[in-house]
Amino acid sequence: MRPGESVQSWLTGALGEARPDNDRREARLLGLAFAFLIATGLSIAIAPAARSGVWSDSLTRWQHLAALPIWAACAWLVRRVLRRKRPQRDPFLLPCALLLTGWGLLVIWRLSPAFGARQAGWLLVACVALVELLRAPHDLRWLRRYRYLWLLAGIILVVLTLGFGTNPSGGEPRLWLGCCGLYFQPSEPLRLLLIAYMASYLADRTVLQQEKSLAGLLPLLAPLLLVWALSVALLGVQHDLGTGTLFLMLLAVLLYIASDRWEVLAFAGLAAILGSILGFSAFDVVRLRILAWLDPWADPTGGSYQIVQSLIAIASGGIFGQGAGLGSPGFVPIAHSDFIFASVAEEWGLAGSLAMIGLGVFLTTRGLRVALRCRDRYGAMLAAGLSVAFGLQSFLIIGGVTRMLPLTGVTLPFVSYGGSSLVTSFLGLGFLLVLSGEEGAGRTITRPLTNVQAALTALGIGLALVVGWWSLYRAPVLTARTDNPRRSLAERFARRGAILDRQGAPLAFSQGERGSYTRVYTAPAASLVTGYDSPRYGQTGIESSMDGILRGEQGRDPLIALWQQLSTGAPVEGLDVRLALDLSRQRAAAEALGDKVGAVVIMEARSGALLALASSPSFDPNVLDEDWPTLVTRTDAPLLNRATQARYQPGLALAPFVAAWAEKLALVDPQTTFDNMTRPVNVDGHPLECAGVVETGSNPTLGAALRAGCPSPIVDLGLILGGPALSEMISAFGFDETSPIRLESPLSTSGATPATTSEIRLSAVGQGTLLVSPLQMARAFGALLNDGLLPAPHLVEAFRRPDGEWESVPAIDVPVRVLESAVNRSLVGAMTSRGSDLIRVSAWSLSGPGEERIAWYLVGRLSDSPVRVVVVALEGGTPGEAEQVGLSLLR
Amino acid sequence: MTPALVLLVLRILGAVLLYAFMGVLAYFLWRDYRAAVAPRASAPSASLIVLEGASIGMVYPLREVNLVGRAADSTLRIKDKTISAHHARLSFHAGQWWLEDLGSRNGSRVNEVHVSEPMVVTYGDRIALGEMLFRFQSGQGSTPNSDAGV
Repeated sequence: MRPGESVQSWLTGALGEARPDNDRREARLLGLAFAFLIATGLSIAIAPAARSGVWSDSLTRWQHLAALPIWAACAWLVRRVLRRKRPQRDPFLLPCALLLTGWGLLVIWRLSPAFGARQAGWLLVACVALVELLRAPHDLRWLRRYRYLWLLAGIILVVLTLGFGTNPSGGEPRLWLGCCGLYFQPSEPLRLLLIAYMASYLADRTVLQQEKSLAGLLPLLAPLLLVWALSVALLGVQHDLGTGTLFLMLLAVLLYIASDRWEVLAFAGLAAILGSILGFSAFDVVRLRILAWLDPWADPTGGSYQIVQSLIAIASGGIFGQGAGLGSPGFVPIAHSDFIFASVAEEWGLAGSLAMIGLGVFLTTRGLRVALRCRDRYGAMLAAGLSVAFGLQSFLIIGGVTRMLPLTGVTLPFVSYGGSSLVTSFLGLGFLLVLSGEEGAGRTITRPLTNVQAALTALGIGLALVVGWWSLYRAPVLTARTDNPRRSLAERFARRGAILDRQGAPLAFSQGERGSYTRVYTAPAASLVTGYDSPRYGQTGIESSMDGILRGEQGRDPLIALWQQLSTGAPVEGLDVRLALDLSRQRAAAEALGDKVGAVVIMEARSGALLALASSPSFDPNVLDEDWPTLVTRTDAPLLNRATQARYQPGLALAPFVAAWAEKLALVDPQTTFDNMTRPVNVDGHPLECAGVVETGSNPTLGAALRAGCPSPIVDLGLILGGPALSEMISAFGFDETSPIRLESPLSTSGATPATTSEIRLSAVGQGTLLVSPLQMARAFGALLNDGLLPAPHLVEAFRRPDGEWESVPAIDVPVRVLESAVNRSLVGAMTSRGSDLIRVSAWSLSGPGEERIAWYLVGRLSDSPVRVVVVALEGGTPGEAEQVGLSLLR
Repeated sequence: MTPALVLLVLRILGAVLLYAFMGVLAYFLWRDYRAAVAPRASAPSASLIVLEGASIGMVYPLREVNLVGRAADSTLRIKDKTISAHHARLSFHAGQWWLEDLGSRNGSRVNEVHVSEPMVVTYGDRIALGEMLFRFQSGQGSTPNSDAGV
């Protein structure tokens, strides 16, 4: 801007002139585009340094900046010719097309320098071709006169690929011609030649508009359909889905424009539906594409790998993107070509992809405007064909990448990598520039063109909405997917928080340097609590439930976190999490369990702090990748945390709670005596006997029965209580709910209210439909040692704020009173042996249809401070073994 | 200055420039639109008045470019069966009014001269399209000129 020039006159390029100077407008836009490309190029240059946080020569790349002078030289050259040869051209077409080209070139170069350099070479070729076209005779008569020659040439080229076709990257499909590192795809120029042919054919047949019946149209269209069928057949043999689809749509739209009859579109739509049904049953490639489109989540590692990765890339872009050079678009296959839009969406976000869609829509409608203003029908048809081809092709591939449409392999014009595509796009642009340069406000075709303009704009808006859907609404779900490789990549650059025990001893932490952090698990005894954080197998345990804190996404001021991320370039550091777990007790519990299959829960009765949650067998998260195949096939399920997730029959471990409920309802007292206290109870044909030793010389009181674990009095109590009261007890002690402790837990089953006498008998001795986890049992037993208050168990105690202070994480539940103090005291007194301060429950339960037994041992010492409960459940063990484990852990 | 801060500035700059491009483009389009809808000093107001045909005395005001015909996309739509769908174009350019026949079935005549190529018309000329006869007159007057040619 020169001094003294106002912003408005700079923008309009009008210095004291009433008529806007289109030439200067074009220059302004090109200048802005160049400035954008410079900023983008520099961003990409320093992005690796920004990611690592230090300036270093090895962390900057400058090679791709060569694209900028090449781009500028092309822009200068084309403009020079345009100013001389086509002074009346549309001033907006060139800047928009060149902006897209330069943007694409930088993205390609950033993804792969080799492809970028080649694409820059192609840009020069395309520019020379464009310049030659602009210097050709003004009126395009030459193009019209030799139409059959052009078409024949195009078809011959495609036929040649049948015999001599290759694929530069090897394999199928063989759609390229050439050798020695220089290849081109004949279907690209064929598209251009076909448009030129169709335009001239349709322009000569104005009678189309007058023809009343659709049948009357057919003879006129026959040669056209024939040619089209031939080209599609050639592509069908080559399995190039995209070009065939594009030709069909293009032909339909051009016929509609020429005839102004909507029936043509309806007919084409019908043909498309029939074609896709036929293709679905006949061609594997069509079937796979359509299936991957309908349900990509079914096979995210196979047939729909590309589309799922593409959607994840778009989602990880968010609104403003990861930043040029900071994303990881390379995770999407062929990101530089067909999937380049996903790369743009990831690094420039919704803002960038909307701009790109906007540019595409603008170029399309502007090209159609050229068609509207053309003086003759041929020019109008040609301009319309070129614009519609550009618009449809962009729509097909962006729609495919965003799962709006099934994926068809076409390039994104101007942007994608591909020499033939770029040269063809530039030639198309050249024809539009030539046609727009013809003076005239003629309107040979109006209504169909404005309709097509509106329709293509609507498609663009649809695309924008779909991109918004993935990058905003679905983004949280998509980016959290375990097959999002950016997650583990981010963890290599930002230290994940450690998981500590109650004394601060580490259970899991990340070590290494920025860029190569790895996760170490120091306590295999606690592996079922910490869980694992695997790039391949996802997350479990605390790693999963506290992921937000461990990643540092939660627990800090989001604005400060955002600023840190923007200014240091790295994802925020994770925050440490401290558990209630006591590592020494956890280790002791794991050792006590040894080879036995079962679980141990140690909990503070008052606070609900979970000191140990041991489960056996277990696994070592440090070697998860090696062990995984065996871990998932073993029948003893080492990945299952039995302490929280197992569902065992409670058996007679339920006895104290049945007794407590009967006492609470004043139906019995501890001194109530029972006849035949030691009589066995029959459960499905198996006799259930007293689990412990019956004290000699004592009365057969309720207390004695509880101490000895005898089933018969409990059955009697159950019958006195009845079904509804038993159900009430079960829910009062929390057996029908899972205690939320920020760790995976199963859905609980409290079962139906027992109705018949036999159901009540079974329920009372814990052999009904109720299944409980050791954790649930520990919580209920904790109530007896906590003055009748049901404790609120918690595993996570606190996390370390960014300022280093610990912030406590409250338990999710709150303590609930289930028994009056007096009732509880009386019951506990009855359960305590004379001269002992231990309160214990020893029981056996029958589990499953076979002979399998679960041994339960519940114990707590009233004189401890704080009082702790230990719950042991052993699969296939004896009450004696369980007692041994339990007592050893009570210390 | 950390590399990340430099990058942040570049990112913001890039986004601003990208949207500046779009904004300037939109501004240009808006200017063009304003210029297109603004009345042009160069196009004098003129009209056609029906002398013979279905609706004698009816006045059709003219724009800079008028597509006369029966079709729906005509800018000057006349429903008469002797008038073709796209009959003729009556437009003002290079300082004069021009009549151009668009290959109509029943032809166009200016002062009984058959129009085979674009022809200049002046105020007072009698224009025949199919079997309808008009007089081309200055102004967009809604009342028929009392001197209507006989």
